[in-house]
Amino acid sequence: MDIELFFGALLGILQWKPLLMIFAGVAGGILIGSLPGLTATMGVALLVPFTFGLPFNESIGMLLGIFSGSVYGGSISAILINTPGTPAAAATLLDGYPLSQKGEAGRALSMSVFASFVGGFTGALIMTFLSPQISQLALEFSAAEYFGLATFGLSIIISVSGKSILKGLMVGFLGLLISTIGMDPISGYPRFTFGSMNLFEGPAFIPTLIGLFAFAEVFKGVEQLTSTKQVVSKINSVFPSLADIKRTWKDMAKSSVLGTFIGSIPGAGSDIAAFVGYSEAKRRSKTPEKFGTGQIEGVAAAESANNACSGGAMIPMLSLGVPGDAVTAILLGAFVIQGIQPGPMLYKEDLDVVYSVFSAMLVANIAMLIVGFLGVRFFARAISVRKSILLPAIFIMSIVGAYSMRNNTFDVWLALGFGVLGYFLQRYRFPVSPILLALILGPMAEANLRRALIIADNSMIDVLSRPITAIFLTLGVVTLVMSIIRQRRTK
Amino acid sequence: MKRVDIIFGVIGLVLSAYVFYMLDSFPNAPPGEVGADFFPYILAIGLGGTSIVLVLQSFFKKVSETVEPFNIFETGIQRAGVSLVATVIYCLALYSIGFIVCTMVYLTLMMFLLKERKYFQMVLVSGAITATIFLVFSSFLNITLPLGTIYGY
Amino acid sequence: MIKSFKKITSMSLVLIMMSALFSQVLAADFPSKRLTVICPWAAGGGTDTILRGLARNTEPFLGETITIVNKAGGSGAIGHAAGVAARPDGYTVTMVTFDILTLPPQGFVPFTYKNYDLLMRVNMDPAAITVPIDAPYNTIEEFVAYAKANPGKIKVGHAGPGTAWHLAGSIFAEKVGIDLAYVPYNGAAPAVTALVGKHIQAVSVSPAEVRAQVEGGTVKILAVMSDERASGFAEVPTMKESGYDVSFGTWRGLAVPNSTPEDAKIILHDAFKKGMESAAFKKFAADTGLGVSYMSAQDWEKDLSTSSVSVASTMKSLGLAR
Repeated sequence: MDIELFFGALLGILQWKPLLMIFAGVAGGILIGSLPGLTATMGVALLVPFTFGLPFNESIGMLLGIFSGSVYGGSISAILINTPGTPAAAATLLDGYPLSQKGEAGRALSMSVFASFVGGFTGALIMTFLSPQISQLALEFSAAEYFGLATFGLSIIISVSGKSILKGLMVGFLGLLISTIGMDPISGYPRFTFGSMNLFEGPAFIPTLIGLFAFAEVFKGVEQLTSTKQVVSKINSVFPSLADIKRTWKDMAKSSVLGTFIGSIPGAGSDIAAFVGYSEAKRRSKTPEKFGTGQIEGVAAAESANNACSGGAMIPMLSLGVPGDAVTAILLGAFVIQGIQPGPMLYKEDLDVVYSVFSAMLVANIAMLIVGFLGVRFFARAISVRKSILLPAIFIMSIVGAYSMRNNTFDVWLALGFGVLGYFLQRYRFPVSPILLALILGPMAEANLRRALIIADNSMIDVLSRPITAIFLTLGVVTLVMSIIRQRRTK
Repeated sequence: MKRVDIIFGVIGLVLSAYVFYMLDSFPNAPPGEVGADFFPYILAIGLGGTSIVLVLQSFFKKVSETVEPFNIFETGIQRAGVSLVATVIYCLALYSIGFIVCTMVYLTLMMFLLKERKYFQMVLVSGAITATIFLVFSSFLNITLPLGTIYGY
Repeated sequence: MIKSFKKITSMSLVLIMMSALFSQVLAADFPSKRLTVICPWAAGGGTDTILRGLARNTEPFLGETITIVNKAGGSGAIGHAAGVAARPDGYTVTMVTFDILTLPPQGFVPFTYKNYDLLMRVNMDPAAITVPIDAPYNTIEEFVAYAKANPGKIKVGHAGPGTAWHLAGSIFAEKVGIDLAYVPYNGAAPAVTALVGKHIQAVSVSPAEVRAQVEGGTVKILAVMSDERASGFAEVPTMKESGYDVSFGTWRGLAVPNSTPEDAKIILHDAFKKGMESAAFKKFAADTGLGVSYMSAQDWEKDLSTSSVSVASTMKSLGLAR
């Protein structure tokens, strides 16, 4: 690491123009992330054309600002209205929303900002110092290892199932079946599509998410308009309390490292990282049964994991030229348009560019912390708005969010359908999160197992006996058995 | 609780039976290979199995939880139903009438349904929300919302 | 209750009238309002990138704003269908992609490229055979010899069943008479990643998609499937130079629905062609590594009438047609 060069690059970012772009990007990103249906991917993709004419430092500052801001922004709507603004925030709502229902939205939000910063900054630091080493590890992942990782992720279903494991499993199988809708990723055969081209790629993920969470929640809100009291959130400080930080720092540290690692594996994203971080915090906790009822550790673990992922995802993009997730795939395109080709050569020839990216990522996370804290009071006030105005507004945002993903009205119908499903599931105490995990991990598990089998000439033993795969599968079984035993004991 | 579990269990069973029925028409994978029908097959077994256990459990287990019954004549449920219908109508009208008009009318009516009666405020807030969403999407994010075919767009 | 309902209705009426006034359109010569171009793929992808670059540089020649609407999904089926169903007044243009040839044989869509009036082809990217840098073959001939000696042992990664790169691999294998195994990935990037990790032995994607790895020295391109050497890859031979008559690639172009007025088509064609020839667009295309390759509507139509037949027959032999 060339320290002198690094500080030179850092100084280049700390000029007023790049700084302005970073702050503008972060603020815009938080807005985009907090709106259900507008994801980090979309935000970056839609704003890339604006950066074409800008100098490198300014454009990269803006894009990384949007990236960092929107991953955090997703947690705002997760905490306030039980709807993940981006898929990455799906694990945050498990404890974030119960907290805001208790009037502690401010506490959850400030913890979310802080945890996002810890995760994001750690991810950026790891990226700065260990990129070449980590990227080599990421290359070890072939289809078989992805299958192992996905299966391990699926074992978390139990720990987000709430009171009834049976209901969680049943909903999980339903979610996995839903995830097989669409063109078979290996043979191309259209499964359960009923001839509708809208279903060729399966039910679109974001509209499904909006339906299961946002619509289900507003239907419930409309139904119980008169029977529930208006939530009043009290905010003493926009900063997390020392006691909360003391309680959660171990979870945050663990989640940050886990998140960076998961992010660095191409194809495994922040949504998976958040769930893994959450489940780790729950496993480590002395009171796991309290998770899901408003544990601040749940918010801290999920948010630090998903933000750490951003730094992780940049690693293979910069050092190998292969994107770590959907956002970095678009960033890669933006770099190329700027005349910079990420890949091994970048480290040899344009180290200053690499260091500029590192610096911009570090600064973007600090900007996120500042803007985030400034916004806490404002955001927390949003749920104090009268329900008669808040609920219609959420309705419209959900519809627009579902529509704008693909400019397609079918997706709004899909969201409404899943809204009705989610409403009944919640009403009769079926957990909804297993469906989400299944939708994220199901296709990953299936496609990679079958891919691995093609590569291994259809030898199942060859696939399962690969060391990393075997470790993940064992971990999955252990998690499954442990959580069942624990569930029994707490009964 | 008991009855609800049985209903959900039966729905799950019917669904998995339907998947099995559909799998019949899937192309056969060459022997020794995992085809398009392998995963749905396993998952349908899983869903069917858990459904059966749920039904059996509801027969043998004592009722421990209570859930409010779903009464279609209750005002709250009816209100939720009306909001669903209103949303459906909104989506149907979106393409022809356009985002701006649809959204303002929809928001105002929904607020009315939710017992808001400050009319001036209702119109003002509807207009503000509509304008904000429209501006953010069309100018900032470059996403086109339907403008309405009846005006020639 | 009734009174307040009346109030509501009258208020809504006022709202409707007000908004209707705002959205009045004045009729004038073409083009008199902003244009929409449908992109059948998501924002940030290759099709979207080239389209946005072209649109920005064409606006000055049209004198109107061009809005890009991403209608992604269904392997391009949704966007292409929306383009066919659009009002044929010249205000809705579609960026048609190669997939319009593969969707009909699979029975996914009830229309073909013939439901469009073509304007011009904009881009063409050839397929190429790329292998890890330390693979035991340095030329395409050695690759073919190795494949003949080890049938089914070479696993070729591609971008998904029925995609251009899937067909590219099998057209090549069929022509030279070798037996390859195909591993479908979800897009070209994961396939390239797997190649860099040496989990597969080759990929059949475009040279632009492996450029970073070629420069980084982890992979090498054996041959491209085009008539001439690919721009930016002058050292890589074509298949034809090595004696294999294989020419295949993916393309993108602009089209409008059938029965669009003739003069509107001419205005559109001329404006977009000027946009393509602008220095700014040429630089943009070179930066992004996308191969610009203009083809007039007549030539393109002729090209599609032959390639649609050969694509359909390849799809059949791959078991993708139904």
